[in-house]
Amino acid sequence: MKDNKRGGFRVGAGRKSGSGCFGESTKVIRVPTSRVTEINQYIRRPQAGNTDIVMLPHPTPQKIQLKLFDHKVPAGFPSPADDHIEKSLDLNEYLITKKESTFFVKIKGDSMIDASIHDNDIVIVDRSKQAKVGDIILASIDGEFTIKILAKHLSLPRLLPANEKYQPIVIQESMQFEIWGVVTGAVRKF
Amino acid sequence: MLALVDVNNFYVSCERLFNPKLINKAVVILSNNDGCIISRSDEAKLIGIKMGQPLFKVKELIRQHNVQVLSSNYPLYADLSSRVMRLISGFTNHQEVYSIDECFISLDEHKDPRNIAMVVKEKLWADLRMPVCVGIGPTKVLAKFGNHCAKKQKKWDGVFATYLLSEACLNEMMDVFSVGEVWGVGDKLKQKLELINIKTVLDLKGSDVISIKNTLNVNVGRIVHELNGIHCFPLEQVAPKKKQIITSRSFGKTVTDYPQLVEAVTTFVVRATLKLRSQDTLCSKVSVFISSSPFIRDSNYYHNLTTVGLANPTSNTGLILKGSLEGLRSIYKNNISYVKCGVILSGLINSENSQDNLWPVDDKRKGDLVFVMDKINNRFNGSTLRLGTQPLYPTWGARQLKKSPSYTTSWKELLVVS
Repeated sequence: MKDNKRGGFRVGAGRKSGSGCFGESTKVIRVPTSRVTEINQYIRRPQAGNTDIVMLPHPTPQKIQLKLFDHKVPAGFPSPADDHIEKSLDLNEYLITKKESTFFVKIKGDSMIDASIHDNDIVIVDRSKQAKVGDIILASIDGEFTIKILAKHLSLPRLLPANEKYQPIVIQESMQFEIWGVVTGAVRKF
Repeated sequence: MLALVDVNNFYVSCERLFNPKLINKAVVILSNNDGCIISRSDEAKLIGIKMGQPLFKVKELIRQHNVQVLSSNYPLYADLSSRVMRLISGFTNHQEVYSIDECFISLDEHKDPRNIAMVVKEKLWADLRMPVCVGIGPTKVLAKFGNHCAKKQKKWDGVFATYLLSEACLNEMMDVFSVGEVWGVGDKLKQKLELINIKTVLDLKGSDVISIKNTLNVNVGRIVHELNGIHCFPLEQVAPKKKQIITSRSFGKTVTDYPQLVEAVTTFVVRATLKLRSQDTLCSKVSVFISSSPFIRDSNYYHNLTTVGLANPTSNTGLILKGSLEGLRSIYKNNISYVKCGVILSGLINSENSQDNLWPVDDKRKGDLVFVMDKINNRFNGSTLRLGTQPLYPTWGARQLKKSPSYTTSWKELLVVS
C-alpha cells in the first residue's frame, strides 16, 4: 500500500465528539418533515428528571371506529379445571402396545367361546409378542388360520379350543405350522 | 455408515402375510390393470418369469407350473410399507424412505453396523414377516451395491457390509457384477458406458472421474466417487417436491365414447390436483393423452397428447379440468377403441412464489371451495364430494380380477378366522 501523506484521516483533526449543543455524540435520523419543529422542540428542551416517556401529540387526530362486540373478552371466574386438562381416553391406547405389529382379525364360530371370544368379535393380534404356553394365539396350519390356546404335548405343540364341542389339534412334524401372533384382546359392539 | 434396507419381493411378501397358502409357492403380482408382472416370488423367478413381462406372454408357464396370480392390492402394500418404515426408524436418527419397499438409514450411532442390521432383519421378520436384505457401506451407492450382493449371494445371510471386506475382495466382487447393477446407472447409461469399455462395477470404480465428467455428466462422476467411498449423495430426509404429476390408467375395457373419456379425465384431474395441493404447489400447464392399443395389429393405432397452458398457475381442480377437457376435445377422434388415458400436470411452482395476474380471472372463492372439498373428503370418505362428471363406479375402471382383501385398512375386509 502506498503511504499517502496528504489528505485522509489525521489523528486529532475535526470537531471533537460530544462538543455540540447536546454534550454527547449524535446520530443522523430520518423524521417526517411535518414534525421536524416538534421533534426539535422536544429534544432541545431541558431534561426534567427521569421522564423518559413523552407522548407527542399527533398533528391531525384521527378517529378509529371500534365495533362494540368485536372480540370476546374473557370475563368472570376462570374455569377451575384449566390447570387439569388431560387428553381424552383413546381405546387404541388401551388395546394396542405395539402399533406397527398389531392387526385386527374377525372371529367366526364358537370354538373359543369359553375364553370369552364370540362369533363376530374383533380380536387384537400382536405379532411382536413371544407366544407362551397358555396364550391365545393365531396360527396357521397347512395354510389355514385358526385361533386357539397354545399348549404342549410331548414336546409337540398342541392347540386347544375353548369349547367342549371341539377336539384339540395336535401339530405333527409333517404339518406346516406357524405361530402368526398372540391374541391380546377382543372388542365387541352390541 | 449407511445402510439400505430393502424388502425382498415386497408385494408377494405382503400377500403371504395374510395368505399362508402362498408360502413356498410360485406367486406373481400384476400391475394396476392386471397387465404386467410387477412382483415375483423366488420360486416364480426360478421358473423364468421376468420382471415387467405382460401376463399374456407367460400364460403357458403359469399354467404349467400352477403359478398363483394376484392383482395388486395397493391399500395393503401401503399400510404394510408404513409399518416397515416405522419399525426401521426405531433403529436410526436419519432415515430416507426411498421407495415403497426400501429405505436408506444412517448407522453412525451404532458401533457394530452389521450386528444392528441383523437385529433389524430379524425384527422385521418376527413382527411383520417381511424378508429383507441389508447392504451397508460408507456411501449410498456402496450401500446399494452391498444390498445387491446380499440379495444375489445367499452366503451373506441377507446382510452385506462392504467395510468388512478387504479392498481386494470387494474389487473381486465388483468385477462379477455388470455396471448396470450400480445405483443410478440405467439402460441408456449402461450402453454408453459399455461403448467406452466400462462393463463391470469395478471398471466404473476404476475409471477416471474427470474424463467421465467430461464425456458423460457430473452425476456419473459422482457415482464413481461414491463407489470409491467418497460421499456425494446425502440422505434426503424430506422428500423433494415433484416437478411433474402424472395420473394415468389403462381401462378395464376399451372406451370409444367421448363422455366416458370425460369421466376418466375428470377422475385423473381430481387425483392429480389432490397431489398438487398436498405438496403445496401450483401448475401452469396441463397435458392430456389418449391412446388405443398398440398390441392389436389390424386396427389403426392412434395416440395423441396435447398440452394446454393455464392463464394463471393454479391448483384449482375446476380450472385445471377446464383446460384438460379443452385438450381432450382437440385430440379426440371418433371410432377409436381407446385403452389408456392420462393427465400430466407440469410447470409446477411453489404456491408462495406465485405471481398474481394484474387482472385476475381466478375467482378466489372458487379456490377456497376446493380446500373446503378437500377437508370434507379427508374427514369422511375419499369421494364424499365429487364433481359432476366424476363417476363413483366407473364402467371403464381397471380390471382387478384376483385382488386380496384390504385386511388392514377396511373394517369390512378383515381376516376372518375360526
